[in-house]
Amino acid sequence: MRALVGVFLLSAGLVAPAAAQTPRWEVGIGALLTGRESAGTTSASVLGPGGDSLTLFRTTNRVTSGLGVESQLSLRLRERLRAEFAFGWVRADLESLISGDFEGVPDVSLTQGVQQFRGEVAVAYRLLQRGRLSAFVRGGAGGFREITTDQALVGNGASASLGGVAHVLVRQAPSGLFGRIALRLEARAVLRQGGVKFGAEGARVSPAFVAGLVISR
Amino acid sequence: MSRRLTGVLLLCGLSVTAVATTQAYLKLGVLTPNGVVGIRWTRPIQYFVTNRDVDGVTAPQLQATVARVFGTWGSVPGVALTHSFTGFTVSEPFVADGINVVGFRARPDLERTLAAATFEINELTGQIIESDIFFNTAFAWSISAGGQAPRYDLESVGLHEVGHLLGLGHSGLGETEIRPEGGRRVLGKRAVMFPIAFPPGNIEDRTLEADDRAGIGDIYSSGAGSAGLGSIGGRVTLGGVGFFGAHVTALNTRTGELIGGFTLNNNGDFAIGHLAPGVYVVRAEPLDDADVASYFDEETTVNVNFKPAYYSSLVAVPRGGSGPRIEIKVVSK
Repeated sequence: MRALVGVFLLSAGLVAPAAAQTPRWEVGIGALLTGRESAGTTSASVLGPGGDSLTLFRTTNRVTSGLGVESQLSLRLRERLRAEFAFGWVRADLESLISGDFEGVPDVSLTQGVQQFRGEVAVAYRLLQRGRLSAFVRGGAGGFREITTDQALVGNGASASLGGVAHVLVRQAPSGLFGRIALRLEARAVLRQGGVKFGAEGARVSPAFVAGLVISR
Repeated sequence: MSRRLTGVLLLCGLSVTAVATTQAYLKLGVLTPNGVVGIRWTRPIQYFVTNRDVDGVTAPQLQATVARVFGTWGSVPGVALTHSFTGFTVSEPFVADGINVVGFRARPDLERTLAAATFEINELTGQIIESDIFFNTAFAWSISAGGQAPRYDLESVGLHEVGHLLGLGHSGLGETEIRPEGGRRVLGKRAVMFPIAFPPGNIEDRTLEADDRAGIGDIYSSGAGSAGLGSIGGRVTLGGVGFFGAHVTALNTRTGELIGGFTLNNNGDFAIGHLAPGVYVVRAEPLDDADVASYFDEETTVNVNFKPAYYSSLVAVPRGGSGPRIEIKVVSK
């Protein structure tokens, strides 16, 4: 995040001034990279005669980082305030690292592929505009659906996110659908709860990054 | 035509020898001209209690304990059991008299058998004619709420025996070690139906585990009780060839619940049912923590000469169905 702010400031010093108002609408598409989520540990254990627990093996669970695409539709509400609708798809893996096997089986990593379909409604507030650069703080909430790649399990969940967005104007023509094109860079922290029943229950936090292009009017 | 099936056990509870088995849990069954028929009560279970007091337990206390034990099995969600106490009797368990009898009996010759259950089965239809449970007075018994060493807990052992009476075989969810003086000592277990009992004074086996609930649900669950559950099916192979008697366990990565099953034919096929939907770790291991004879017929050949292994992926179990069939590849020891 610190690095991202650094990029914003550097860009602000290099580009020329631009219009004060954000565009009336924007649509964009980009690559979505989701970070790794911890999903807790689970022990396969038996109960000893003294009430103690004997662990047969342990699983350390996580959702691996994933790669996908995200599209956005953004509408101007006020001069600095925008409403955004984002839809994304990500392919990741549910992963359990098996360790501590009571009978000496070597540690092994087991996975199951999962697809995530995400939808989110967000608001973005423009913090600054310097030349070709616009920087926003963005918060949103939405839902997602996870489906294992063998399509055996489906789970729905809810999500919330908070982060920052930078738009760097790369083309501005007086007219035309593609007259105004910007590079969109986004970093956000995502809180998710629900989805496929895997690992520990409860909310999970992970980072997510989007890099893409937006066209706007 | 009928034949009496008796079983001898190790230190713990009973067991009837599993004459044959069907898929999923190790269930008791009988071979009829029409194939294997699982032991299952299709009429209300009416039982008598032998009118004999023993040191620490009166006949009415035994009756109250047995009633509580039936209630525990019947409380499993989705399971429909009908049972009733008919009265006290002078009849002994293990006597073919056409009535179901639960009672104490002196069997010092069965020095490692705490209790046992027997069935009399119609060999043509597989229908249960009678079933008895005996508790061996060669051991000291207790009904104390918190357990009472050095006495065995009647409710814990009773829960295991009634599990057999209801048709369950033994579970493999346990770890043991050989004792220098003979027999095995339980290091830990995760099923009331594991064939070796906890030491005297322990009352942990008064509570059913996930494996026990899955087993009884597999036999007696109504359709509604199992509608939301799923299963895992597949085979265990050694050098590409399936084999009989591998113990397969499924760990729910969310709940930590363990449920087990066995490969029950020479193709190495297994099925584990009554699983909550979720993501599972599946592991195969040899049946080496109790005598094989307490699980299967003595003439059955069980391969225990392989190393434990995990299935190569996590397994997703859907609601009301089964994921793709899996193959767990093991290697020889």
